[in-house]
Amino acid sequence: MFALREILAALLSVRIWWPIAVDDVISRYRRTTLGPAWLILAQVAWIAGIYLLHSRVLGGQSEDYLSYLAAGLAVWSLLNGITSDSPVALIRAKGYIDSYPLPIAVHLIRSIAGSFVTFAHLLVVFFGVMLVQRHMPSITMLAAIPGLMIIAVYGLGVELFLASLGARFRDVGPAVGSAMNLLFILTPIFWVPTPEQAASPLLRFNPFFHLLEVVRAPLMGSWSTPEHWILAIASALTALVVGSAVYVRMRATIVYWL
Amino acid sequence: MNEVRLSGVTVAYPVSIDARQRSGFATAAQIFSFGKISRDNNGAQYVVALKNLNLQVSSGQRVGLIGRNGSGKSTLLKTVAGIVPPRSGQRSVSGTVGCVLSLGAGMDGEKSGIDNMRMIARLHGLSGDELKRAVEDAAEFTELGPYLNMPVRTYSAGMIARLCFAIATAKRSEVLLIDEVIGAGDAHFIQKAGQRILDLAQQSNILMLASHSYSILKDYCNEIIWMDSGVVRMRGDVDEVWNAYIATLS
Repeated sequence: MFALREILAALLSVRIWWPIAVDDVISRYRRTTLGPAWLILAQVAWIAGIYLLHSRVLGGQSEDYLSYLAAGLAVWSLLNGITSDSPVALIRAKGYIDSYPLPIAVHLIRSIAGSFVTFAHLLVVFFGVMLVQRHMPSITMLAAIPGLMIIAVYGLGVELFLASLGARFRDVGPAVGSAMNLLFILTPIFWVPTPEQAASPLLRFNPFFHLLEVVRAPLMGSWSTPEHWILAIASALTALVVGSAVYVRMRATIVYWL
Repeated sequence: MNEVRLSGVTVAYPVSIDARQRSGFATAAQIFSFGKISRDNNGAQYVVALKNLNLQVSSGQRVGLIGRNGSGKSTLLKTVAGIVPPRSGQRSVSGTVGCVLSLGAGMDGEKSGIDNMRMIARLHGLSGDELKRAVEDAAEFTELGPYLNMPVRTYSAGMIARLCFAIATAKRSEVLLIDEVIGAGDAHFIQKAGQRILDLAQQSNILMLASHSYSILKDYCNEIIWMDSGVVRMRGDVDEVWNAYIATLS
């Protein structure tokens, strides 16, 4: 089918989407003095604020809380970045889509790659925190890589799904934004769930919890539970299948709606 | 052998539809049930740009497209390019496609001329050595010299036009699609541009060129298609079709 082949062709055109994605991020910093440092500073401010809140006002947190926060916020920004950008990914690329016969999925991959580049910036904050707290990096951190690959698969699925719908129904963008705000609170990012809480339906059926854990836990030095891995992979694959189905169905008319 | 073939192709643009006519939920139901659950779309308006079009162009044919504004020339080129997928019908194109359809899409005023050309070359699908050569060739063609390293927002309109044109015409391809682009420029540039298009056309196997200018059509094409309201009204020898078309204008 043309649409599926197009997704594959887009994935394979690394030499097109990678430079454009990097350029997207660099463009944001043109004519600024601090450039990418702003991203990092913003994150540091966030973390400092929440940490101060807990240590001075709400009554202490464990030693690990700071790095837990740094890791969680970095991974959340990746998930949120991809998901929130999806509805507008194709709309934003309208100029390109109308003028160049590229497989349009390239713009989705570009969006995902952009979010990963931002994530890399925020990872610096995490490693900075590790340095400050004199934690040694462990080999288990490498387990974050398969976690990130799972997130990439999820990203492709959700981009295919939301970008197709978002091109036609302009409400999807704001709706997704609202939903992500809600999930930001419900997902354990700046609070640590106890095992009982983690088993409750609200957390268990939150795919972002699992996608978050499979990267955060390795960064914190543990392998996380099999349940998290299984549910994360399941979420990613479901997103990919549903996304592809919707994209294939809508591909012929997406261009008309942009 | 390169070929462009369109069979029964219909392209119809939806006019903005009132949100109430089609709710997201109704559409979701239709998508997930693969079309079984749906309600008739009352009054959805479409602008039919191409109507059940059949077209075949083979290697060696250089086809000019003429017609009134809104007759479907640009849409036809975009459909052949693969930019606009047909609502119905089949499109098959064998050979690499190069299009010079609209100049300047993707240009970033803050970037330098040469950086913009690199980005646009990438959007055209070039990479590696081919990209380097194309950008060098285009840079030389623009005759912009040291300006190429300055941000595009410092350029005049004519300079931007030269830049856009140069990079848009830098890619060699087997099927070449051009949509009335010459744009602003002084007499020296217009002559250079004309020669560049001619060179490009001679290096391609199939050319489809939309234009309103008889001299361009006569120089570059060996036949003409006259588009009218989304259908091919006439196809044949350059002078014959052109004269028939002109006759209807007066």
